Amino acid sequence: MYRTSVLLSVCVAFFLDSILFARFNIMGIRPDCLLAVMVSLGILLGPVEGAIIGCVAGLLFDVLFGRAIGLYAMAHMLAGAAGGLFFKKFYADNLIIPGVLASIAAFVKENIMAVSVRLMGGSFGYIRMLITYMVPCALLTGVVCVLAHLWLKPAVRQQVKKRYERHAGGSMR
Amino acid sequence: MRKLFKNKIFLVLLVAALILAGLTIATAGGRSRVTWLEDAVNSVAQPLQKFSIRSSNAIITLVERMFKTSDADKENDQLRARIAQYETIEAEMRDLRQENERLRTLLNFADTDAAYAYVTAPVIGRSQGIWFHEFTVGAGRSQGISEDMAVVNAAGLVGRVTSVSANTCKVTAIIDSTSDVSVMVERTRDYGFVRGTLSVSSSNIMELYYIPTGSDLVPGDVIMTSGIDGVFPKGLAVGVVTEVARSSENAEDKDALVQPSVNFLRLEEVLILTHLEKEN
Repeated sequence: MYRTSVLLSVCVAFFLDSILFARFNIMGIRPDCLLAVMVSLGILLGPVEGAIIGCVAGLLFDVLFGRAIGLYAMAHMLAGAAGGLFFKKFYADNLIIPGVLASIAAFVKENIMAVSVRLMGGSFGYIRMLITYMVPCALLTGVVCVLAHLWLKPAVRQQVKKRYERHAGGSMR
Repeated sequence: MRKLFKNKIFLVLLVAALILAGLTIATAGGRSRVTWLEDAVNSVAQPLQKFSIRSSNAIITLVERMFKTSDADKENDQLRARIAQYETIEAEMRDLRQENERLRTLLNFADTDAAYAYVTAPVIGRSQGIWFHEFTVGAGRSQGISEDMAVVNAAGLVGRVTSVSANTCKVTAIIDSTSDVSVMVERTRDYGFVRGTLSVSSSNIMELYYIPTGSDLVPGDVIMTSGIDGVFPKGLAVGVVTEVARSSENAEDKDALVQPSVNFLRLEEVLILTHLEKEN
Protein backbone atom coordinates (compact mmCIF):
# COMPACT_ATOMS: atom_id res chain seq x y z
CA MET A 1 0.00 0.00 0.00
CA TYR A 2 2.73 2.41 1.07
CA ARG A 3 5.05 1.68 -1.86
CA THR A 4 2.18 1.70 -4.34
CA SER A 5 0.98 5.06 -3.03
CA VAL A 6 4.45 6.62 -3.27
CA LEU A 7 4.98 5.23 -6.79
CA LEU A 8 1.53 6.33 -7.92
CA SER A 9 1.94 9.84 -6.53
CA VAL A 10 5.34 10.21 -8.26
CA CYS A 11 3.88 8.92 -11.57
CA VAL A 12 0.91 11.30 -11.35
CA ALA A 13 3.29 14.19 -10.57
CA PHE A 14 5.42 13.25 -13.62
CA PHE A 15 2.33 13.21 -15.82
CA LEU A 16 1.08 16.54 -14.54
CA ASP A 17 4.45 18.29 -14.73
CA SER A 18 5.68 17.04 -18.08
CA ILE A 19 2.48 16.70 -20.07
CA LEU A 20 -0.69 18.21 -18.68
CA PHE A 21 0.55 21.47 -17.12
CA ALA A 22 2.95 21.99 -20.04
CA ARG A 23 -0.18 22.60 -22.14
CA PHE A 24 -2.70 23.62 -19.50
CA ASN A 25 -1.49 26.59 -17.51
CA ILE A 26 -2.50 30.12 -16.64
CA MET A 27 -0.15 32.51 -18.46
CA GLY A 28 2.68 30.00 -18.04
CA ILE A 29 2.08 29.72 -14.29
CA ARG A 30 1.97 26.13 -13.14
CA PRO A 31 2.75 24.24 -9.92
CA ASP A 32 5.71 21.92 -9.46
CA CYS A 33 3.78 18.80 -8.51
CA LEU A 34 6.83 16.56 -8.05
CA LEU A 35 8.35 19.03 -5.61
CA ALA A 36 5.05 19.22 -3.70
CA VAL A 37 4.93 15.43 -3.42
CA MET A 38 8.56 15.29 -2.26
CA VAL A 39 7.96 17.85 0.51
CA SER A 40 4.91 15.95 1.67
CA LEU A 41 6.76 12.61 1.65
CA GLY A 42 9.67 14.17 3.53
CA ILE A 43 7.33 15.42 6.24
CA LEU A 44 5.57 12.06 6.49
CA LEU A 45 8.55 9.71 6.21
CA GLY A 46 11.54 11.62 7.51
CA PRO A 47 14.60 13.30 5.96
CA VAL A 48 16.46 10.17 4.80
CA GLU A 49 13.56 8.60 2.95
CA GLY A 50 12.40 11.99 1.67
CA ALA A 51 15.85 12.77 0.28
CA ILE A 52 16.30 9.32 -1.30
CA ILE A 53 12.87 9.34 -3.01
CA GLY A 54 13.46 12.97 -4.07
CA CYS A 55 16.86 12.18 -5.52
CA VAL A 56 15.68 9.10 -7.46
CA ALA A 57 12.53 10.81 -8.79
CA GLY A 58 14.49 13.96 -9.66
CA LEU A 59 17.16 11.95 -11.50
CA LEU A 60 14.45 10.18 -13.47
CA PHE A 61 12.90 13.54 -14.35
CA ASP A 62 16.33 14.83 -15.43
CA VAL A 63 16.89 11.83 -17.70
CA LEU A 64 13.43 11.97 -19.27
CA PHE A 65 12.78 15.71 -19.58
CA GLY A 66 15.67 17.76 -18.18
CA ARG A 67 18.33 19.88 -19.84
CA ALA A 68 21.14 18.77 -17.51
CA ILE A 69 21.45 15.66 -15.35
CA GLY A 70 21.38 16.50 -11.65
CA LEU A 71 19.47 19.78 -11.55
CA TYR A 72 16.02 18.41 -10.69
CA ALA A 73 17.61 15.59 -8.64
CA MET A 74 19.35 18.13 -6.42
CA ALA A 75 16.27 20.32 -6.04
CA HIS A 76 13.96 17.41 -5.20
CA MET A 77 16.44 15.70 -2.90
CA LEU A 78 16.81 18.91 -0.89
CA ALA A 79 13.04 19.42 -0.88
CA GLY A 80 12.54 15.89 0.50
CA ALA A 81 15.20 16.47 3.13
CA ALA A 82 13.78 19.87 4.05
CA GLY A 83 10.37 18.28 4.50
CA GLY A 84 12.02 15.70 6.75
CA LEU A 85 13.17 18.43 9.12
CA PHE A 86 9.53 18.67 10.22
CA PHE A 87 9.12 14.92 10.64
CA LYS A 88 7.40 14.19 13.99
CA LYS A 89 7.67 17.85 14.95
CA PHE A 90 4.03 18.90 14.57
CA TYR A 91 0.54 17.51 14.66
CA ALA A 92 -0.13 15.22 11.71
CA ASP A 93 -3.29 17.12 10.77
CA ASN A 94 -1.42 20.39 10.31
CA LEU A 95 -1.65 21.43 6.65
CA ILE A 96 -0.07 24.85 6.96
CA ILE A 97 3.48 23.58 7.40
CA PRO A 98 3.47 21.37 4.24
CA GLY A 99 1.91 24.21 2.23
CA VAL A 100 4.33 26.88 3.43
CA LEU A 101 7.35 24.58 3.18
CA ALA A 102 6.47 23.55 -0.41
CA SER A 103 6.05 27.21 -1.36
CA ILE A 104 9.47 28.05 0.07
CA ALA A 105 11.05 24.99 -1.61
CA ALA A 106 9.46 25.92 -4.96
CA PHE A 107 10.65 29.50 -4.62
CA VAL A 108 14.21 28.34 -3.91
CA LYS A 109 14.03 25.87 -6.83
CA GLU A 110 12.81 28.55 -9.25
CA ASN A 111 15.72 30.73 -8.17
CA ILE A 112 18.16 27.87 -8.80
CA MET A 113 16.61 27.47 -12.28
CA ALA A 114 16.91 31.22 -12.88
CA VAL A 115 20.60 31.14 -11.98
CA SER A 116 21.09 28.09 -14.25
CA VAL A 117 19.43 29.88 -17.18
CA ARG A 118 21.62 32.95 -16.59
CA LEU A 119 24.75 30.80 -16.50
CA MET A 120 23.71 29.12 -19.76
CA GLY A 121 23.42 32.49 -21.49
CA GLY A 122 19.73 33.32 -21.14
CA SER A 123 18.72 36.86 -20.24
CA PHE A 124 15.61 38.06 -18.41
CA GLY A 125 14.42 40.67 -15.95
CA TYR A 126 14.60 39.08 -12.51
CA ILE A 127 12.02 41.33 -10.82
CA ARG A 128 9.52 40.79 -13.64
CA MET A 129 10.00 37.01 -13.45
CA LEU A 130 9.79 37.12 -9.66
CA ILE A 131 6.42 38.83 -9.70
CA THR A 132 4.85 37.24 -12.77
CA TYR A 133 6.18 33.70 -12.47
CA MET A 134 8.21 32.65 -9.43
CA VAL A 135 5.90 33.81 -6.64
CA PRO A 136 2.63 32.60 -8.26
CA CYS A 137 4.24 29.23 -9.08
CA ALA A 138 5.52 28.89 -5.50
CA LEU A 139 2.07 29.66 -4.07
CA LEU A 140 0.42 27.20 -6.43
CA THR A 141 2.96 24.52 -5.45
CA GLY A 142 2.02 25.12 -1.82
CA VAL A 143 -1.65 24.51 -2.63
CA VAL A 144 -0.78 21.31 -4.54
CA CYS A 145 1.35 20.15 -1.59
CA VAL A 146 -1.63 20.53 0.77
CA LEU A 147 -3.72 18.39 -1.59
CA ALA A 148 -0.91 15.84 -1.99
CA HIS A 149 -0.47 15.72 1.79
CA LEU A 150 -4.19 15.11 2.30
CA TRP A 151 -4.00 12.17 -0.10
CA LEU A 152 -0.65 10.75 0.99
CA LYS A 153 -1.19 10.91 4.76
CA PRO A 154 -3.90 8.22 4.98
CA ALA A 155 -2.24 6.22 2.21
CA VAL A 156 1.05 5.88 4.08
CA ARG A 157 -0.50 5.88 7.57
CA GLN A 158 0.86 2.47 8.60
CA GLN A 159 4.36 3.33 7.45
CA VAL A 160 4.15 6.71 9.16
CA LYS A 161 3.05 5.03 12.38
CA LYS A 162 6.00 2.65 12.27
CA ARG A 163 8.41 5.53 11.72
CA TYR A 164 6.92 7.60 14.53
CA GLU A 165 7.22 4.67 16.87
CA ARG A 166 10.78 3.96 15.78
CA HIS A 167 11.87 7.60 16.20
CA ALA A 168 9.83 8.61 19.21
CA GLY A 169 9.61 5.21 20.85
CA GLY A 170 5.99 5.89 21.61
CA SER A 171 2.63 6.73 20.16
CA MET A 172 1.76 9.25 17.46
CA ARG A 173 1.12 12.80 18.53
CA MET B 1 27.95 24.85 13.13
CA ARG B 2 30.40 22.16 14.29
CA LYS B 3 27.44 20.18 15.58
CA LEU B 4 25.85 20.34 12.16
CA PHE B 5 28.94 18.93 10.46
CA LYS B 6 28.93 16.01 12.91
CA ASN B 7 25.44 15.09 11.73
CA LYS B 8 25.87 12.13 9.36
CA ILE B 9 22.64 12.81 7.43
CA PHE B 10 23.66 16.41 6.83
CA LEU B 11 27.12 15.38 5.63
CA VAL B 12 25.73 12.75 3.24
CA LEU B 13 23.21 15.27 1.88
CA LEU B 14 25.92 17.88 1.42
CA VAL B 15 28.16 15.44 -0.48
CA ALA B 16 25.23 14.24 -2.61
CA ALA B 17 24.21 17.84 -3.40
CA LEU B 18 27.77 18.70 -4.39
CA ILE B 19 28.03 15.62 -6.63
CA LEU B 20 24.69 16.49 -8.29
CA ALA B 21 25.77 20.12 -8.75
CA GLY B 22 28.99 18.91 -10.41
CA LEU B 23 27.00 16.55 -12.61
CA THR B 24 24.70 19.42 -13.60
CA ILE B 25 27.61 21.63 -14.60
CA ALA B 26 29.26 18.78 -16.52
CA THR B 27 26.11 17.94 -18.50
CA ALA B 28 24.63 21.42 -18.95
CA GLY B 29 26.59 22.14 -22.12
CA GLY B 30 24.83 19.37 -24.03
CA ARG B 31 26.02 15.88 -24.88
CA SER B 32 25.98 14.10 -28.20
CA ARG B 33 25.61 10.69 -26.56
CA VAL B 34 23.89 9.65 -23.39
CA THR B 35 24.96 6.88 -20.99
CA TRP B 36 23.64 3.32 -21.29
CA LEU B 37 21.63 3.88 -18.10
CA GLU B 38 19.82 6.89 -19.60
CA ASP B 39 19.27 4.84 -22.75
CA ALA B 40 17.66 2.08 -20.71
CA VAL B 41 15.48 4.48 -18.70
CA ASN B 42 14.31 6.27 -21.85
CA SER B 43 13.53 2.98 -23.62
CA VAL B 44 11.52 1.66 -20.68
CA ALA B 45 9.65 4.93 -20.19
CA GLN B 46 8.88 5.60 -23.87
CA PRO B 47 5.72 3.45 -24.16
CA LEU B 48 4.41 4.97 -20.92
CA GLN B 49 5.14 8.48 -22.17
CA LYS B 50 3.38 7.78 -25.46
CA PHE B 51 0.35 6.48 -23.59
CA SER B 52 0.39 9.49 -21.26
CA ILE B 53 0.59 12.02 -24.08
CA ARG B 54 -2.32 10.32 -25.90
CA SER B 55 -4.47 10.33 -22.79
CA SER B 56 -3.53 13.93 -22.03
CA ASN B 57 -4.45 14.99 -25.56
CA ALA B 58 -7.79 13.24 -25.15
CA ILE B 59 -8.43 15.08 -21.85
CA ILE B 60 -7.47 18.44 -23.37
CA THR B 61 -9.69 17.86 -26.42
CA LEU B 62 -12.57 16.94 -24.11
CA VAL B 63 -12.14 20.04 -21.93
CA GLU B 64 -11.80 22.30 -24.97
CA ARG B 65 -14.95 20.82 -26.43
CA MET B 66 -16.78 21.44 -23.12
CA PHE B 67 -15.79 25.11 -23.07
CA LYS B 68 -16.75 25.67 -26.67
CA THR B 69 -20.14 24.02 -26.40
CA SER B 70 -23.17 26.25 -26.97
CA ASP B 71 -26.72 25.48 -25.76
CA ALA B 72 -27.69 23.93 -29.07
CA ASP B 73 -24.61 21.74 -28.99
CA LYS B 74 -25.46 20.65 -25.44
CA GLU B 75 -28.92 19.61 -26.56
CA ASN B 76 -27.39 17.86 -29.47
CA ASP B 77 -24.97 16.08 -27.15
CA GLN B 78 -27.85 14.94 -24.93
CA LEU B 79 -29.48 13.40 -27.94
CA ARG B 80 -26.26 11.82 -28.99
CA ALA B 81 -25.75 10.34 -25.51
CA ARG B 82 -28.73 8.05 -26.15
CA ILE B 83 -26.79 6.18 -28.75
CA ALA B 84 -23.63 5.69 -26.72
CA GLN B 85 -22.06 3.10 -28.95
CA TYR B 86 -22.46 5.29 -31.98
CA GLU B 87 -20.90 8.22 -30.16
CA THR B 88 -17.87 6.18 -29.15
CA ILE B 89 -17.26 5.24 -32.75
CA GLU B 90 -17.71 8.86 -33.78
CA ALA B 91 -15.18 10.08 -31.17
CA GLU B 92 -12.66 7.51 -32.33
CA MET B 93 -13.25 8.58 -35.91
CA ARG B 94 -12.77 12.24 -35.03
CA ASP B 95 -9.45 11.51 -33.32
CA LEU B 96 -8.30 9.47 -36.29
CA ARG B 97 -9.39 12.21 -38.70
CA GLN B 98 -7.45 14.86 -36.75
CA GLU B 99 -4.38 12.65 -36.64
CA ASN B 100 -4.78 11.98 -40.35
CA GLU B 101 -5.02 15.71 -41.08
CA ARG B 102 -1.92 16.48 -39.05
CA LEU B 103 0.08 13.72 -40.71
CA ARG B 104 -1.22 14.77 -44.13
CA THR B 105 -0.05 18.34 -43.50
CA LEU B 106 3.33 17.05 -42.42
CA LEU B 107 3.50 14.87 -45.53
CA ASN B 108 2.67 17.83 -47.75
CA PHE B 109 5.46 19.75 -46.11
CA ALA B 110 7.84 16.85 -46.69
CA ASP B 111 6.83 16.73 -50.36
CA THR B 112 7.67 20.40 -50.83
CA ASP B 113 11.07 19.88 -49.23
CA ALA B 114 12.05 16.66 -50.96
CA ALA B 115 15.77 17.38 -50.74
CA TYR B 116 15.76 16.17 -47.16
CA ALA B 117 15.27 12.77 -45.69
CA TYR B 118 13.14 13.01 -42.58
CA VAL B 119 11.77 11.03 -39.67
CA THR B 120 8.29 11.73 -38.29
CA ALA B 121 8.05 11.44 -34.51
CA PRO B 122 5.58 12.28 -31.74
CA VAL B 123 6.34 14.74 -28.94
CA ILE B 124 6.19 12.61 -25.77
CA GLY B 125 7.20 15.00 -22.99
CA ARG B 126 8.16 18.56 -22.11
CA SER B 127 10.43 20.14 -19.53
CA GLN B 128 8.79 21.51 -16.39
CA GLY B 129 8.34 25.27 -16.04
CA ILE B 130 9.21 28.06 -18.44
CA TRP B 131 12.96 28.24 -17.85
CA PHE B 132 13.83 25.74 -20.55
CA HIS B 133 11.83 25.06 -23.69
CA GLU B 134 12.90 21.52 -24.30
CA PHE B 135 10.84 18.52 -25.26
CA THR B 136 11.32 14.80 -25.66
CA VAL B 137 10.56 13.25 -29.03
CA GLY B 138 9.86 9.57 -29.71
CA ALA B 139 12.68 8.89 -32.20
CA GLY B 140 16.33 8.26 -31.47
CA ARG B 141 19.57 6.66 -32.61
CA SER B 142 17.73 3.57 -33.88
CA GLN B 143 15.85 5.80 -36.35
CA GLY B 144 19.04 7.53 -37.52
CA ILE B 145 18.74 10.65 -35.38
CA SER B 146 21.89 12.43 -34.27
CA GLU B 147 22.78 15.65 -32.47
CA ASP B 148 22.21 19.04 -34.16
CA MET B 149 19.63 17.80 -36.65
CA ALA B 150 16.95 20.36 -37.48
CA VAL B 151 13.41 19.73 -36.24
CA VAL B 152 10.46 21.21 -38.13
CA ASN B 153 6.72 20.87 -38.58
CA ALA B 154 4.37 22.02 -41.31
CA ALA B 155 4.42 25.60 -39.99
CA GLY B 156 8.18 26.01 -39.80
CA LEU B 157 11.27 25.57 -37.66
CA VAL B 158 10.77 23.95 -34.26
CA GLY B 159 14.31 23.52 -32.92
CA ARG B 160 17.34 21.27 -32.96
CA VAL B 161 18.22 17.90 -31.49
CA THR B 162 20.48 18.36 -28.47
CA SER B 163 20.85 14.83 -27.09
CA VAL B 164 20.00 11.42 -28.43
CA SER B 165 19.28 8.09 -26.78
CA ALA B 166 18.36 4.78 -28.42
CA ASN B 167 14.68 5.51 -29.01
CA THR B 168 14.15 9.11 -27.93
CA CYS B 169 15.87 12.44 -28.35
CA LYS B 170 15.65 15.84 -26.70
CA VAL B 171 14.93 18.89 -28.79
CA THR B 172 15.73 22.45 -27.73
CA ALA B 173 13.07 24.73 -29.18
CA ILE B 174 14.00 27.96 -30.97
CA ILE B 175 11.97 29.84 -28.33
CA ASP B 176 14.39 28.71 -25.58
CA SER B 177 16.19 31.72 -24.08
CA THR B 178 19.56 30.04 -24.63
CA SER B 179 18.88 29.26 -28.30
CA ASP B 180 20.25 31.36 -31.17
CA VAL B 181 19.22 30.86 -34.79
CA SER B 182 20.88 32.55 -37.75
CA VAL B 183 18.10 34.07 -39.83
CA MET B 184 17.36 36.19 -42.87
CA VAL B 185 14.56 38.67 -43.54
CA GLU B 186 12.77 37.26 -46.58
CA ARG B 187 11.98 40.64 -48.19
CA THR B 188 15.20 42.60 -47.53
CA ARG B 189 17.62 39.60 -47.41
CA ASP B 190 19.26 41.07 -44.28
CA TYR B 191 20.93 38.62 -41.93
CA GLY B 192 20.47 38.50 -38.18
CA PHE B 193 19.89 36.24 -35.17
CA VAL B 194 16.71 35.33 -33.36
CA ARG B 195 16.78 34.38 -29.72
CA GLY B 196 14.03 33.07 -27.45
CA THR B 197 12.88 35.14 -24.51
CA LEU B 198 11.75 34.19 -21.05
CA SER B 199 8.19 35.28 -20.72
CA VAL B 200 5.12 34.02 -18.92
CA SER B 201 2.78 34.67 -21.82
CA SER B 202 1.85 31.82 -24.14
CA SER B 203 2.79 33.80 -27.28
CA ASN B 204 6.48 32.74 -27.01
CA ILE B 205 7.75 35.92 -28.66
CA MET B 206 11.39 35.86 -29.86
CA GLU B 207 13.83 38.75 -30.29
CA LEU B 208 15.67 39.63 -33.49
CA TYR B 209 19.25 40.94 -33.22
CA TYR B 210 22.13 42.14 -35.41
CA ILE B 211 20.08 43.40 -38.35
CA PRO B 212 22.26 45.91 -40.28
CA THR B 213 21.73 49.59 -39.52
CA GLY B 214 19.45 51.17 -42.12
CA SER B 215 17.47 48.03 -42.80
CA ASP B 216 13.81 48.94 -43.42
CA LEU B 217 12.34 46.19 -41.27
CA VAL B 218 8.55 46.46 -40.99
CA PRO B 219 5.92 44.48 -39.06
CA GLY B 220 4.76 41.55 -41.15
CA ASP B 221 8.22 40.78 -42.56
CA VAL B 222 8.78 37.04 -42.77
CA ILE B 223 11.87 35.69 -41.02
CA MET B 224 13.47 32.48 -42.29
CA THR B 225 16.64 30.52 -41.61
CA SER B 226 19.74 31.79 -43.39
CA GLY B 227 21.58 28.47 -43.41
CA ILE B 228 24.90 30.06 -42.48
CA ASP B 229 25.05 28.57 -38.99
CA GLY B 230 25.47 25.10 -40.50
CA VAL B 231 22.77 23.65 -38.27
CA PHE B 232 19.51 24.69 -39.91
CA PRO B 233 18.96 24.44 -43.66
CA LYS B 234 18.27 27.67 -45.52
CA GLY B 235 14.69 28.83 -46.11
CA LEU B 236 12.77 27.31 -43.17
CA ALA B 237 10.07 29.63 -41.82
CA VAL B 238 10.97 30.96 -38.35
CA GLY B 239 8.35 33.63 -37.73
CA VAL B 240 6.88 37.00 -38.56
CA VAL B 241 8.01 40.43 -37.30
CA THR B 242 5.33 41.81 -35.00
CA GLU B 243 7.06 44.94 -33.73
CA VAL B 244 10.15 46.83 -34.85
CA ALA B 245 11.87 47.79 -31.63
CA ARG B 246 15.27 49.23 -32.55
CA SER B 247 15.78 52.41 -30.56
CA SER B 248 19.54 52.89 -30.69
CA GLU B 249 22.65 52.08 -32.70
CA ASN B 250 23.79 49.67 -29.99
CA ALA B 251 24.17 46.19 -31.51
CA GLU B 252 23.20 44.60 -28.20
CA ASP B 253 19.70 46.09 -28.40
CA LYS B 254 17.03 43.97 -30.01
CA ASP B 255 15.88 45.07 -33.45
CA ALA B 256 12.43 43.53 -33.51
CA LEU B 257 10.04 41.11 -31.89
CA VAL B 258 9.22 37.98 -33.84
CA GLN B 259 6.15 35.76 -33.47
CA PRO B 260 7.19 32.14 -34.16
CA SER B 261 5.47 30.38 -37.06
CA VAL B 262 5.03 27.26 -34.96
CA ASN B 263 2.39 27.01 -32.24
CA PHE B 264 4.52 25.40 -29.53
CA LEU B 265 1.54 24.80 -27.24
CA ARG B 266 -0.05 22.45 -29.74
CA LEU B 267 2.99 20.60 -30.94
CA GLU B 268 2.13 16.92 -31.27
CA GLU B 269 4.23 15.55 -34.14
CA VAL B 270 7.44 16.82 -35.68
CA LEU B 271 9.72 16.04 -38.60
CA ILE B 272 13.41 15.56 -37.92
CA LEU B 273 15.47 16.38 -41.01
CA THR B 274 18.06 13.63 -41.00
CA HIS B 275 20.30 14.59 -43.93
CA LEU B 276 20.42 16.15 -47.36
CA GLU B 277 19.67 13.56 -50.00
CA LYS B 278 22.21 13.41 -52.80
CA GLU B 279 21.02 15.09 -55.95
CA ASN B 280 21.11 12.91 -59.02
